[in-house]
This record gives sequence, C-alpha cells and structure tokens, in this order.
Amino acid sequence: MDRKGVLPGTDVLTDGGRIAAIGTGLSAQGAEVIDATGRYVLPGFVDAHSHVGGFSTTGSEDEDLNEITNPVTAELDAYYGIDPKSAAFPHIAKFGITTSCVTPGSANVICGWALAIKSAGDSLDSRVIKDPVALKAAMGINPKGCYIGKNMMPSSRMGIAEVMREYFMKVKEYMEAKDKAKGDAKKMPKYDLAMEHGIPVLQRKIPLKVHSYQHDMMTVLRIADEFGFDVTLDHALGASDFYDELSSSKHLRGLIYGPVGSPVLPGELCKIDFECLAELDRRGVLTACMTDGPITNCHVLVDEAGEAVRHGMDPMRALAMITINAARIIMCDRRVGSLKVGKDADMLIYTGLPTRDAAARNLATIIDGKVVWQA
Amino acid sequence: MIIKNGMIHDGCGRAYAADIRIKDGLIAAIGKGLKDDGEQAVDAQGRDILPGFIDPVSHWGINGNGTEIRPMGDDNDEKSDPIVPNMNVVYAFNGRAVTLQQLYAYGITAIGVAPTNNEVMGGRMGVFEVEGTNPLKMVIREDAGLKASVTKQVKKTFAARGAAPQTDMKIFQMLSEQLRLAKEYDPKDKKVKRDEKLASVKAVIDGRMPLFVACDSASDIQHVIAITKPYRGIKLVLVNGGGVGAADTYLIGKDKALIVCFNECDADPDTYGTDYDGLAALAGQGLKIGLAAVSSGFGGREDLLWNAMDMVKAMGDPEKVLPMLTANNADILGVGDRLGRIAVGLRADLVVWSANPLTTFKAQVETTYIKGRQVYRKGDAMRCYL
Repeated sequence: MDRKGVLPGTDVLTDGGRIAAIGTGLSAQGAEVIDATGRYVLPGFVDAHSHVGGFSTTGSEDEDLNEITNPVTAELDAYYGIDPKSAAFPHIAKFGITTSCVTPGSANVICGWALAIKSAGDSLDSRVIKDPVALKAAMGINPKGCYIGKNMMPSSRMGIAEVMREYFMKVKEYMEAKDKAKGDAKKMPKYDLAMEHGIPVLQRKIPLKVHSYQHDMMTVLRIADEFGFDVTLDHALGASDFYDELSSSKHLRGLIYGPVGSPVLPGELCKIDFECLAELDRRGVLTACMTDGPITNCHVLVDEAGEAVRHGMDPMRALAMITINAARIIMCDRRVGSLKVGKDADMLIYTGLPTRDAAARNLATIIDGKVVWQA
Repeated sequence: MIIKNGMIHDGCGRAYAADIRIKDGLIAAIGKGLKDDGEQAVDAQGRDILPGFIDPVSHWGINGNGTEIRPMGDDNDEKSDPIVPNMNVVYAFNGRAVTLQQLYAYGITAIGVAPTNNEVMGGRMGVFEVEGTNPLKMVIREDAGLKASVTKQVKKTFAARGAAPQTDMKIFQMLSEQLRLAKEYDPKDKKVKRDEKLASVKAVIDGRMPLFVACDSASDIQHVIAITKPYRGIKLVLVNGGGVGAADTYLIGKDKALIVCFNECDADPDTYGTDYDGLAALAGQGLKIGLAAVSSGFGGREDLLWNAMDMVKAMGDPEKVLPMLTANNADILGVGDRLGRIAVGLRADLVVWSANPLTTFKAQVETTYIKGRQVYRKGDAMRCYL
C-alpha cells in the first residue's frame, strides 16, 4: 500500500536500504525473496510523539528526557537522552513502529529539541533521520505541576503563556542582535544555545511541538500567530470543541492525537473525542496518532487509528495517520511514511488491514531493507 | 420488547440469527419468528447483538471521581495496613462517577470493582451496573472476591512509610499467615475473639469467595499457587497475565482462572508485552481466561476492547474471545447465573452493534440495554468533566 492507495499483487524490490522498484514480476539477481501473497505490505508505522529509549524500561525510574530544574530548557536535545540499545526499540519494531519522533518530556514550558529515529539499525547516528524535527514545549498541568511546588513561575496557565512568550521575545531579540552584528564577532551577542534552539522555530524551519489539551490549544495558536511560527498540537484531546479555529489556523502543521486510555477526568482529560480526527481530516488538517511510549504501550498506535475508523474515518485515511501524515508532520516524509521508489525500505507484512480488521497481525518488520523482526 | 432478526453472539462461543424477547428486565425467550404481543419491537437486521462486556477487576466508580478535593479519590486503597480483607469496596463506589464515563458506549454493562494492588489483602470486591447513582442499588453482587496483591506496588506503598512488607518474602509470609489463621478461626467457638479480617479470609478458605491475586510475573503466580495449595477449597483468580506463556500449564485447572489485563504501559519490564500467543495456547488447553482493562488505576473504557482485539489476533476466532469478555468474567465473579450470556432467564444486558466489534474497528455501539432498559443510543454525547 502506498500513498495513493492499494496496489494489489505488486512486488517491492529493495536495494541498499531503499525501495528500488515497485511493480509486477520484479526480479533481481541474488535478491532474497519474501513471498507476501495474500498479505498486506504497508509502510512502517510512524509514531509522531514518543519517549522510547529515553524513559527507562528496565525498572529504574530514570526519565532522561525530563530535566525538571528549569521551566525553560530550550538548550537541551533529546539526542543525549536516548539509549539506542534500549529494549523499547525492538519491542516497538515488533508492533510495526519503524520511526518515532522522540521528544523531551513535558515537564517544562520549553523542553528542548525533538528528533526522528528508526527503531533498528547500526549506530545512533545512522538511525537518526533528522535532528531537530521540532522544539518541544508544554502547556497545562505538567509544567504547572512541576514548578508550583518550587515557588517558581509557572504556577498557573497565565504563567505558562508568559514564560513561553518571554522566551520567544528573547529569541527574537537575540536574532536581531545577531543580524545587527553582521558577522562582526565583537558585536555578536553572547552565544546562547537556548536561544539558538529557538531560531529555527522563528524561521519556520521547524515547528514548536506543543503538549496541549483543550483550551490550551487556543493559547498556542494565538502565540503562534503573535510570533509567526508553526506549531503541532500534541495530545490534543478536546479538539472537537475547536474545529473552525484549528482548520483555519495558518500556523498549524498538524494535530497529533492521543494517547487515549484513561477515564475522563477533570481538566485536561475531560473530553475524549476520537470523532475529531475524521472531521479535521475532512477539513484538511493533517492528523496523526501517538503512543507517548513507553508511558503508553505501542499497540495503541493502531488502536487509536482504529478508533478513528469507529468514529467515522475511512480505514485507509486512518492508515495514513500513522504513516505518511505522521511522517509529514515530523518532516521525514522524503524518507519514510509511504512506499515509493527512492524512499527508505521500511515495510510491514500484515495479514489484514490493521486499521480495520481486528485479527490483522504483523508478520514481519523491515527497516532499511532488513528484516528486523519476524513472527 | 422484542429485538428481531439480529445476529446473536451468545458469549459462549455460538453465533446465530434469532429474535430476543425481553420481559421484566430478563431475557424471556430466544427464537426465530417470535410473535410480538403488541410489545415494542426493534429491528436488528444486519446488526450484531452481544452480551454486555464485563470489566472484571476495575476501579470504575472510584478513579475519575472528579468531585473530590484530591482529584484521584483513592477510596479503594486503605493503605493504613497491608492486611485489610475486612474492607468492602461497595463503600468506595460512586454511581455518578461511573455513569459519567459512559462505559456502555463501548459495550460494557457490568464491572467488577476491586481494591487496589497496593495492599497484600486490600478488601472485598463487588460487581456493579455501570449506570445509576446509588451504589447499593447498582451492586449486582457484593463479596465477589477477596482482592490480594503480591505486586511491587505493595512494596512501594509500604516502603514509602517505612513499614512491612518491603520484600516478596514478607508479602508471601503475610499472605500465608492470614490463610493459616483464617483456617483455624472458628467464630462459633466462644473462646475465640471475634475478628472481621479473619472472617473475610475464612470465606476464601471455604470457597465461598474466590481469591483474586494481582501478580507481576509467572514466578509470582507459582508462589501464590504454592502457598494456597494446602487449602483445597480456595478458588484462585490470578490477575494481570504479564509474563505468562505457553509453558505455564500449571495454571490450568477447575479451581483456577487467569484475568489478563491490558498493559496500558510499556515501561514496566515485568509486564512488557503480554504473550497473547502463549495465552491462546493455554486457553486451547482449557485455561479459563477473562480479559480486563487495567488491573490498577488508570485505564480507559476503550482498553477492554483493545485487549480483546489483541487476543483475537492470537486466537483467530472472535467467537472464542467473546466469552473472555462476558461468560468467563461472569463465572469468575460468581454472577454467571445472572449475566454474561445471551440465554433465557438471564438479565437482558445486551448491546446492539453495527458489526462485530471483535472483527472490525468499524463496529459501533448502536444501543445498549441494561436489564432491558435502554441506557445508551449511538449519538448520545460523551459526557465531559469540566
């Protein structure tokens, strides 16, 4: 299955980790042949928001992606919080996730850079598709909850909005000072990595990736308008209250929904509205799902896409949410997210269409042309 | 009322097209071409009718109780003492809190509600309806089981307060001691001091109430089986299922059942990836399996169905998985004579789906009936905490 839809009875040839050809009756000398007759060959799933490899899965409570010492830690990069040998990667590969956007946690208002990484491969560097893919930020109860006890701003949603605005005003001033210096080392502002990490956001090269629920999403869109940067809205429960605002925003690159799997609770979890995905997709908003792994288990990526189907979405559009849409949102669609000649050979062999058929199960995960897991 | 022409999945492995007559909240008749006596008739042609699902070891009606000052009201967690079998969960249950969750929109009509996994013996479980206000009217069965736990949550809870138990050794010793004392306990003997804790555990020893034990791993399960072995009357329900595989055939037996919970989280190495294929193999050999959403705390109404869909991937046949959501859970909770199946004489806890939810994600709940009363219809808005 590719971006256009379904190609029945088709072969895929891979070479050097890339898709070399898609067609019928393909052959190549010495090529290993996998017979997928009657199976569904899908692009590897792309998880647009997770913490795999950065939150411990070995029993300790290490959260190397949450530096809860300052509400602005823009200088951080998830790259240094990831253990590439974490058991979490083969685990998610088994369930079909071949690429994850691994992001710092949501303890801080400005958390640091997020990257895109494959679930298997040789070195960390060879597995990273792109770093950064976004600057991570967070609204609501997480930053508030982390600093309220430390007698630090933010202790309220008002404080969060102000900390975020203040940061970008500083980045703007820093950029202006750099521009003014015109390369003159004496006139340059003091090098500040936290400011440097905000520059690509203000330049609209990467989006601000914002943990946000409910009306916090409206705060984010307003700040995005104020500074002219792009955003992704991550988690996004309650989006069904804001269809017009979300679909008319000039700065919304995508909405990443989930994880779901909690009771409705007061505040951020007050509304669970899978139906928003079909409606936003109809209105042209790029939608995706997320696991937040390992906080939530990796199966839920398919389950969430399936719930979108239960709530009115076409199963192929739901498949797009966890493949090409997610890849586009994390700016990796040149390499992953669909089956296309020249793209990375990241594929799954399924017994059915996972976003529709309950019994559909993954038989093999292929990353960069190599079978990394097989049933 | 008659529901006509639906495809009935009876919860015991059979599927057939027939009409269902509901009278006084119970299923009065099942058959083809039932004549209506002028009663209300609902056409379910092209629809699938399933027994309401039962989420067997939940915290519904307790967690998500938004009116408390502390948002996560932990009223099923009496952690002042690791041994509190005398607690009754009926006093923790809040009807409004569970109604608000609209569990019936995902086909769930009854829930087993349990104390947490934080105590060695946390208290007595109950089975409840999912819609209503008064817990004492919603309760279908009290004392449906005694909830115990040998998980690391116990160690964590009591280590935090510098109290015992802090090791598996101590947990199992405490568990074993309670069973021994309860066996010796004779309330009729006037010389014996009244003891409500031992009276509760005695019901387990006598087989009047099953013992539910949350376990982190297969080795926990083996320890529990070893400790309970001398007490022949005990009906054992092992809860969680993480780490259990095809080799764990010692679980198979008339006095045992396994409740497999959905692993909400991937961060816990002991429950890292449920082995559904292994569980399917054990089920094929006669292990009684019930499926649950999560066993402690923070799960969603979707999780139960997602868990079942993972089981379908392993079992292949949805009809073999449906009992794990219905009849098996009802039997495990001791309410199999009243719910969990579509059969004459049982409660009319029925869900009309647009398709079989164990076959396709496209399936939506169209109508949910509890005791024959319509409690949900597709399109009823999800209720929302503010």
